[in-house]
Amino acid sequence: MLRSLVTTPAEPSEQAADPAATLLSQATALVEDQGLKAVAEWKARHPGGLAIGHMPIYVPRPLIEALGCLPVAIYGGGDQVDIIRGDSYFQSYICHIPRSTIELGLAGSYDILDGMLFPSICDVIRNMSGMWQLLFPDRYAAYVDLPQNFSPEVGGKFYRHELERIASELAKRGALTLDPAALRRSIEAENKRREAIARIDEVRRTEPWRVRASEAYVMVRAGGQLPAAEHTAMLEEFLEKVGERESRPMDNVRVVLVGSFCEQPPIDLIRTLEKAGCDIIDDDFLLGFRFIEGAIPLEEGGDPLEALVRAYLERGVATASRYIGEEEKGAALVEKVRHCSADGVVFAAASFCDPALLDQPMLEAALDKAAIPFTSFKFAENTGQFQVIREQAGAFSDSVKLWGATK
Amino acid sequence: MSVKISNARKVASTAAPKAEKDQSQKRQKRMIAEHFKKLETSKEDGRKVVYTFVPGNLTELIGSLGMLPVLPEINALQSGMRKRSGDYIAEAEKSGHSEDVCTYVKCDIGMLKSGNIGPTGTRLPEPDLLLLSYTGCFTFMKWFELLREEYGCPVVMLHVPYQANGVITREMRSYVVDQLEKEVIPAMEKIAGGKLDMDDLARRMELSAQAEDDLVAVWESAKHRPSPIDGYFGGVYYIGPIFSAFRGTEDAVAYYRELLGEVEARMARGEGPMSPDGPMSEEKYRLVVEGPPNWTSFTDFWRMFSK
Repeated sequence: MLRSLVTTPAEPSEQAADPAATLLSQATALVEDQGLKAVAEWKARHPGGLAIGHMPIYVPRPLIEALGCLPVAIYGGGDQVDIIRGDSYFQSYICHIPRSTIELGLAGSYDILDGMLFPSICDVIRNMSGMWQLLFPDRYAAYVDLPQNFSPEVGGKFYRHELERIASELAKRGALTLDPAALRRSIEAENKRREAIARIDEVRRTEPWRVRASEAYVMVRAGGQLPAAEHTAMLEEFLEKVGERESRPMDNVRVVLVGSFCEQPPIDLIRTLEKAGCDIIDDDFLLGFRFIEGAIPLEEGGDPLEALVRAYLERGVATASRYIGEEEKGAALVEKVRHCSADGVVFAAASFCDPALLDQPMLEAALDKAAIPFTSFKFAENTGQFQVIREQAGAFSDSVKLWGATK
Repeated sequence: MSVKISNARKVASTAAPKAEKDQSQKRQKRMIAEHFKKLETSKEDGRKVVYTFVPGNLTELIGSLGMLPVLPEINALQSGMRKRSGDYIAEAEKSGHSEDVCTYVKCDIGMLKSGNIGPTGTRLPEPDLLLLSYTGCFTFMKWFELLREEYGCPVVMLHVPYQANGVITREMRSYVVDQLEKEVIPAMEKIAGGKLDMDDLARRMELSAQAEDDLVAVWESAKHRPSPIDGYFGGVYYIGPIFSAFRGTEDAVAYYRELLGEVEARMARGEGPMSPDGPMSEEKYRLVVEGPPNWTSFTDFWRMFSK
């Protein structure tokens, strides 16, 4: 019988007395907290502390923490928000995340934030920085220009100034002055968080039945409104709990998912893929937490700001919004598939996502050349119908099982 | 682009005689034809070809190093005006490009896959260098990554920072200069096979400034009532030389001097702008339009405002 027709075994979290159930519930509550209650609680515990929102993909969170601020990752409204006013600010042919973000902003959901950062991922997110300035003139809003030149003396010099500029502008609004020792501590905390995320990713790769992608997703995303140290503690506890799970391997195909680095799919879409027989063993969801490969290298007595700059220049992951220069397009994805022993790739890009969709033909060509099977679909953060995607993913999973996977 | 448009009624609305072209229009047509002729024979003539974008174009540099520019955006919009873009876009989508993304890119990719026949009907030469002037439109970056895959030629990028607050800071300027000095110019010299002559570059910059001064005077003429120019539909033609292959050339200076003379003469006579059907008068509405026109139905779109 084909996989798409097989009754799916219970998820680890659906089994009785799942040791990780409580943590998953806590994380889910944080993910669904559109009103940013956790941020309000943090501010109550840190009088005078600023909460600074940021859009995907990448903003150097340790810098914000070093200034005594709470970085708050904003991923739009997902499938929980009805868009009424948000649509009126945009033309029809752009993605969904700016609509729901503006909707939530106008509804007052982000009133708790003292500022917003808009990194240079694409034209839409960039232009939102200007919209935010017009809509909320009393709040800090800044564009973070991530350089596309990765030479230390050119792009590095520019990026360092960008970071200093943001630090200085936030200090004028009540944040702490940038202190190298504080920055070093926050980078160390961030490195611990990255290490914990890497360990979860490793479990997903080696025992995908023990931690499903949808669970890892919730656990990582929950940290979007937590300081690194708190998030790390949560992730480490999760790792401990999933180690106690009595789960068994499932006969799924192993896939790498690509294209969801900015606007996020509904969690039910991720679960749909899993139910269709796909173990998502690597992905680019929530890419900001994994944007730097490995730890941010801190040298003894070295300049921590320089470490942050060099990490961006030298350790940034290959993704659609990052210029690849002379490197071979798609080589990083092929390498990832090999490294993960994946059977294939699922392209899941948000509709109208220029970076992902313009990148995709080049990545597909690289996969074709390497004889790696792939399938693709588009989504919006508020997609509500998954049957077609389930059938497509199920057919992909079946075909990989029947006719072979990556050579 | 934010430009002014004046709307007026035609004086003679019954007949639709073919509008006589201004001398400047004829000059521009001649300039473009000559440029494409040069492109056609570039390989035989040993001239290197640089593909680049309109915003942030470095045509003076390209010219100073003896190379010829090709502007895929212009080719795409001209394909649109010549009703070819539908087939080109379909060709690109057939090869895996999403229906959701910018059609300029797909038009160019489709044209490439259909033989790369340019606006004058001849095959465009392949690029020796892709000069990626990344000035804010993210699509540009992906566009030249895609072309690099197709042509397998080197790419060099100039990343122009976004002026979020409308201010060019010292650091932004330094970032651009660093890129030019350390990466862009050396890469261009390598392809051109020679060193950049700074005196020649300075002369070309001076010519650009002269041409731009006259173009600005043309735009300023729209303050007059009635406006002697249609800053939108006519403006598309006015920006042609300075936005494409002719920055830093005597040709551009001559074109804009002639254009300004024609505009000033119209203003002196109290005439409105030219429309597809001849001169207009009785300016009724003065509009500001944001964004490019509908290239595929350009003349019909124009007439919606001019008739």
